[in-house]
Amino acid sequence: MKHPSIRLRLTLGTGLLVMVILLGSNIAIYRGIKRTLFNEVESQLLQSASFLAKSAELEGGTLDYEWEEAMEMPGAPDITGTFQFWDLKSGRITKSPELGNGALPFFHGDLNQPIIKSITLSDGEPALAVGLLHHPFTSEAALVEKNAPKPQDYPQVVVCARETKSITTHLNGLRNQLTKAAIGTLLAIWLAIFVIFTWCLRPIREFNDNLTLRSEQEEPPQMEIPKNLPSELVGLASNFNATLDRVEQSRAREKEFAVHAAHELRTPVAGILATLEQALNRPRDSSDLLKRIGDALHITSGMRVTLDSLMRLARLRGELEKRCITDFDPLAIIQEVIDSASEAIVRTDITIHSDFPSTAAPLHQDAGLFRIMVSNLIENAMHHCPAGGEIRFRVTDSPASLIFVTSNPCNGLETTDINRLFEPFQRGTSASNENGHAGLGLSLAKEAARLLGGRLAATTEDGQLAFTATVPR
Amino acid sequence: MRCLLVEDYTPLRKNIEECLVEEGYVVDSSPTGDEGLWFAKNHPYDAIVMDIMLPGVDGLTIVRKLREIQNKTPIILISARDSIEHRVEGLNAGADDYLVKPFALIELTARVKALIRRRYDQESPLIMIGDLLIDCNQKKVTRSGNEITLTRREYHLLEYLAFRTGQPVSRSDIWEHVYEDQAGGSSNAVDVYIGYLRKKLNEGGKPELIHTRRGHGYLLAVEP
Repeated sequence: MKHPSIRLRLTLGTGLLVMVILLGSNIAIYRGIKRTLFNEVESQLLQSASFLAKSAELEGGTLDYEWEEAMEMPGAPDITGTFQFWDLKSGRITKSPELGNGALPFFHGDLNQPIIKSITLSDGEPALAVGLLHHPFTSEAALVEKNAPKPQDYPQVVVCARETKSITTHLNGLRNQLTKAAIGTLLAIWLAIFVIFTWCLRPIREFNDNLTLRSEQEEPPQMEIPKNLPSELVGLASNFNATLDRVEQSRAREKEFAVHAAHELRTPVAGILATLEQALNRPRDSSDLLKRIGDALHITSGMRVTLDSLMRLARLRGELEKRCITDFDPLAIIQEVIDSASEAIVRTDITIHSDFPSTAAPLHQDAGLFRIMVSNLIENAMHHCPAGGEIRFRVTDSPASLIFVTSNPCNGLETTDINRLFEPFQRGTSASNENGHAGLGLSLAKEAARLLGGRLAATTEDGQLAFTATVPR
Repeated sequence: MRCLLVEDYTPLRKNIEECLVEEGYVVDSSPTGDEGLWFAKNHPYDAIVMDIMLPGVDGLTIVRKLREIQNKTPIILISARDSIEHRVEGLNAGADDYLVKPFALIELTARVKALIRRRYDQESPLIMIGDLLIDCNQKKVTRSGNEITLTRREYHLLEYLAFRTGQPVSRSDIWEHVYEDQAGGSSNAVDVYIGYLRKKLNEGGKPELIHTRRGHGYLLAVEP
């Protein structure tokens, strides 16, 4: 599977974005300059056309082009470009000297409404031209004379043009410069991204190397986050580290579980083997032999209890127990378990005190899981209560949950040991494994509480160890 | 020979203890690490058989503590932990042997015997002192080819003296290593059994092998 590269994505993404921005801005700049230049030319052409139009004067029925005279005089006005006149009445055509033998195209708009067009000059050069239909200038005095010719009878067309090759060349140069600047900027940004990203990736590589080292070691040390790791990745690295710690703790617990399981199973097997070997290694009377076989059977039944507990723990952990949700009376189950445990675990040296409400609302839960949780907590209390101690069982009923608490004296239990109580094979010093008490009860109770959607917690206070199970209704 | 057995699983402890006793060892047994450590520190044992996972102090810690105080008693660790790492850890802690559960009792007793022989620099289970031959495996004693019938206690007394051939062995040493009831120790009992042994070994006017060293105890040797 090919994974996406951050560097490639960043380089391509940034490059594309920068390219679009640069392209847009360059086009805008280019168009702005082009518009400005052409506006300037158009403005000059309109001025020239206006000036030339005024230079056509109708005087006594004769049409004079004053510009012809003016251009021959020193200090002639600045008339930009080339131009050509059409006297529509006489059909006479006059043109500026720059045109030589060439000619300008004839075009115009409405009267006194100049129009601008791009044209091609006779020599093939591109140009911009303005065409204007106008009437010749007539003085006020001439207009009031009787039978004076009317300017509207002498329509004139003037076309004034200016080549635009120099502007186009200038604009082409500008376009090339803008393109080069854009490419240069893009390359500079790509280079910067590459360098910055490589620099930022170095601590990630270091972190990765440490990670590889950690995975190769049997008991790896705590991994430190490199100081130069980008701050955006510190959270990820910390979480990753914490996850690894949890995985390693889990692995260690699994390893410990396997060692304990081996101990809990191999030791009774060794006991059976030793018992039978001793039974057979010399002639013995039948009563002695029967006793030894009975001992071996007793060990076997203890092993069966351990195996049953292990299987049940595995099923609970793997959530393979079939759930059966019903309404049941929790107090009845608790009392039944206390009674049967008192019969099975004969302890005349302890006192049991129960503090239950007279009735409790039915619990809508899995009765089997509830029984597993309760029985393991009660049996645990009865096995571990020191001689002369008092065990207290308390039930608190509420609309949301049912709370079951067991408490008994505990001798020498450190606060730090509490978290380990729920781990499999944690057996108190007062209990033995000879009847299958392998230290799995609290693990089973915890798993059952979890599957019931509740929780089980242990606390110590004033020499009392209390387990509080909260089961939601 | 006196052995210490530390094992928390009662059925196994009872059977190993019984087996060792039947083999002629004097056995002290304990179900906890703390008590086992106290026994090991305060009594001279010829061998210690010890579990690793014990209530209280664990077996490996006991081995380390004993080696720290220069206690050289041979120790066999018995454990359910069967991985190479665990075996190496046990042997590196200072144990002399490591046996994985479940095991055959005859293998355990053979290893105990071997360790005790090694402790007293006896390479072979056959010990020869002049014309006296002691077969430690068969628990059979012959002198000049003639078998001598000994009681269990006489045999173990002779075996203990034979392991320390050429060295004077004090009465208290003999009492501690050969007799079960240490509290009720009596030098007279030792002298009585030495007397029985001498009588059986010297039958037919054979030369004395057990010599008395005044103030030091007894010495088993061809010549004083």
